[in-house]
Order: sequence, then C-alpha cells, then structure tokens
Amino acid sequence: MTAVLLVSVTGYGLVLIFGMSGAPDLALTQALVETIVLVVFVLVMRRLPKQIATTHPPVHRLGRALIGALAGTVMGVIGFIALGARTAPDIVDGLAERALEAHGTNIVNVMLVDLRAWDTLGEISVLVAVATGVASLIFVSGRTGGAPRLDERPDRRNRLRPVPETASSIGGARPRLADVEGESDAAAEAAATRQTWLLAGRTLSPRRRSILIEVLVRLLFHPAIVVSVFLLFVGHNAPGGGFAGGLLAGLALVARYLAGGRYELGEAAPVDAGHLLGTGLLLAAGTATSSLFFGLAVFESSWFETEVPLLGTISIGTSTLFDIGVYLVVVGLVLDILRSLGAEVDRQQEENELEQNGAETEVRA
Amino acid sequence: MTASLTLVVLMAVLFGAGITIMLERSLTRVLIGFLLVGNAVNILIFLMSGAPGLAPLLSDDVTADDISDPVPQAFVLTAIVINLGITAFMLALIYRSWWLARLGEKGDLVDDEDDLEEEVEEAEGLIRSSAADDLAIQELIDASDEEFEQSPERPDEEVRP
Repeated sequence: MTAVLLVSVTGYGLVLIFGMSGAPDLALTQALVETIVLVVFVLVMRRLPKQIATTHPPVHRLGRALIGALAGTVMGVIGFIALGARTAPDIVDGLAERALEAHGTNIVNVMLVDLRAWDTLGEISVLVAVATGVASLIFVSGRTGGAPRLDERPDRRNRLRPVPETASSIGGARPRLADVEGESDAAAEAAATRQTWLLAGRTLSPRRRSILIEVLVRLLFHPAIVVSVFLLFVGHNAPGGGFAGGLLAGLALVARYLAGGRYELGEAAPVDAGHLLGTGLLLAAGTATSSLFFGLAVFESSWFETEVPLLGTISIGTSTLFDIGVYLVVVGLVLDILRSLGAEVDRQQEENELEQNGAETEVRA
Repeated sequence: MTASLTLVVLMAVLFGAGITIMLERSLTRVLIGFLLVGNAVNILIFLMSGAPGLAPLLSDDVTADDISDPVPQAFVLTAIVINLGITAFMLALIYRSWWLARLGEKGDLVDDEDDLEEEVEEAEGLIRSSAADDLAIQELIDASDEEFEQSPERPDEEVRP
C-alpha cells in the first residue's frame, strides 16, 4: 500500500513538471488519471490479503538491483544523446498554421482529433479492448449486466444478469437503526425522517455511511458533469478535450460509487458500459468515414459555423464529433472498471462472506 | 536543444527503480514497476520537446517560437490514457489470479444450472452404461470360468471321438 502511494507521488510529480513547463493539457489529464488509478488500486487491494508482501519475499535482491541500475543508466545515456542529436528544425511552425486551418488554437487537441486522428482512433480501440478484457476477467458468469439498479426485482432477472440480489427499494421501509444496530430509538426516528442525499444511501449499513461525503458528492456530482462537458467542447481552443472531459466525468462517477456503493453507481449511470464504449467507437469511426461520402479523404474535416446569441461564433466540425466519441469511450472505460473492479468485486466478497458464515454455523451445529 | 539535466537523471532513476521492481515474482510489484517505467518513459518523451516554453495555445500575442513543442505532448497524452487502461487490466488479472489461487483445485469451474443438469444426466448415463458393462463382463467371466472348468475335461472329449 505504501508502494502504491509512493508511485502516485511520482505521478503527481509528473503533473507538476507538465504544468510548469508549458503542457496544461498533460497536467490536467495526468492529474485525473493518477486519481482514478489510485482509487482503482485501492478497490482491488482491499480485497487481496494484507500479508501479500510478506508471503512473497523479494528474491535475488542484488541481481535485480544491478539489472535495474544498468537499465536506468542506459536510458539516461539514451536520453542525453537523443537530446543532443536532434538537429532537424521543429515542425511547430507548420503545425500552428495547420491548427488555425483546423479552426482550433489548442495545437495538442487539434493534433489529437484532427491532424493525427488515426492515432487517436487506434488508441480508443485499445481502450475498448482493455475494458472488455477487464469485464471478462471479473464477470465470470456473463458480462452484460450493468451495476445493479435499486428497483430490480428478482423475477425480472434472467441468466444473463449476474446480479441476483435485491436492494431495499427507495420507497420501502428502511430498516430501523434500533433493530439493526441496537442503537437508541431516537436516532432511528431522526434518521428515518431525514431526507437522503444520495439515491442509494439507504442500501448501505448505517455504520458505513458518512453524511459529510454524501452531501459533498451530491453537491459536486452535477457541476462536475457540466464541467466535463465544458472541457469537451472547449478543448479545441483551450486545455481540455475529450480525454480530460471523459476522465472528469468518470471521476464524478467514482465519487458517486465511493459514497453510495454499487447501487448508487447503478442509479448514477443507468446505462451499460458496453453500450457507451460501442457508441463512442461507432461515433468516432463514423465521423472518420463520413467524409468519404462527401468526396473527401478519411478524417478530412468539415465545419459548420453559426452565430449564436450570447455565446458568439460556434464552429462545430467533424473533429468535434470525433472528440465526443473519444469522450464516450473514456467514460465507458471508467464505468466498466468501476462496475467490474468495484461493484462486481463487492458482490463476490459479500457472497463469499455469506458462504463462510454459513459454513461456520454448519460447523457449530 | 536545451533541456533540464535533472529531468534526465530523474527519468533514469525512475526507470531503474521500475525495472528493479518489475523483476519480482509478485504481480502487484510488477504492476508498480510498470507504473514507474510508464512515468519514466513519459518524462523521456516529454524531454524531447526541448526547452520548456509557453503552453501550445495560439493567440494574437503568442508566436510559434514561444510555445513548447506540441508533438511530444500529443504522444504523452495518448500514453497516459493507455497507461490507465493497462493498469486496470493488470489489476483485473491480479484479482482473477488471486481468486483462482484461492479456489485451489476447484479452479475455474463455473457452476451453471444447465451445466450441472447436463453433468448429472451424463453421470447417470455413465452409471447406467457402466452397470450394463459390469453385467456383461460378469457374464463373460462366468462363461469363461465354465469353459476353464471344463477345459481339463476337453482332452478327454477330444480323445473320445
């Protein structure tokens, strides 16, 4: 666990380096990614045994250190030489002209969605494949189910849905604190009349809930989604873009899941992650090929400009649609990670605990 | 082309540490090493942009000479997001391998109702057929026993005709 935190420190250090040397896009993306990686790491580590480090003691310390030092030295020399060996002139000048031609002033984003869009198309294909891989590794008995919804009835369940349990529904009577936890009845009355801040807050055990986090998440979730959409559309001219926007939306979902458990995730994003991924990839590939129908080359952009009162000139190009596809794929990836490494792992853990309890009572009998 | 020597050294150290950890047997440590090496490579690519300048956002008072090279930035942006995906995949692998190791000999068997029914039917069929086989074999053995018992008399029989 300490190691994970230390690795995160290097990641956030990278954020500082990027931010201070003129790469705001990178700093933004790296900060968001690092946070998500940290959360996902903890989601998996909480399930693994704590003594995992002691059961596998390190071997060949000296040899490994030697190889590591050698590799580091080689890379350092390579970096040093490569820096000195670069003699060709920058292509920045040409890129700047091309970016203005592509109706954007943020060169990095214009490169991603327009000038080097093939690269990005390949990348989001990798992301879709990775998300599918994660889901199929975790969901053993079928991968179509999303995170469980609150009002799911057991009879509606079919074999494709790997979520057999029911939640106490929103409208249903909430188990009283006094019955469940043996606490004073006054607290139960107070809790029963209080409105919940999160939809699925009642499915959590009262001891695991934190009103502070629930209120914060409730207040921050919708602004975060709005900001993510803002980042998506502003990306062509300012730091942002489909990646940063999608990651921010994903982070908002992470917050909902952490505060309210897996039912909250199901309520926050009542769509299948697979559908999101597929729609995003379809949109991106569709915009790429759509230009063929107008007699243009693949990925050749066209724009639609209009004057909108209050907002000024809006230029929506095919590259904007492509960026929306990227946004959807990134959100789908984060949602897929959450529902498998978060929700499904939760469910398997609870199932396991139930089994163990059953075995214990059997042994006692 | 000028760049910070400190960053080169930092990159080398991160890379060396990452490789060292990656050579462990435990998958968790391999993943941690992978993250370190990933960060190191990102720094290496970013270093190639040379001296840091202004952010690559064009406006009237920013010329192409002032901004830092946007090409490595686009590469690193892609790499960062791919890193996230690979990390999640490795974590899923770690979880799955732990899960399988915990199950032990039962392994990756998925108990499905249909599969179970099929298995039961198959087992019944097997038992039935094996019972029939047993009977048949028993008959054969009995028959051969008789033959065996009779065989000493056979020479006599052969002699008789």
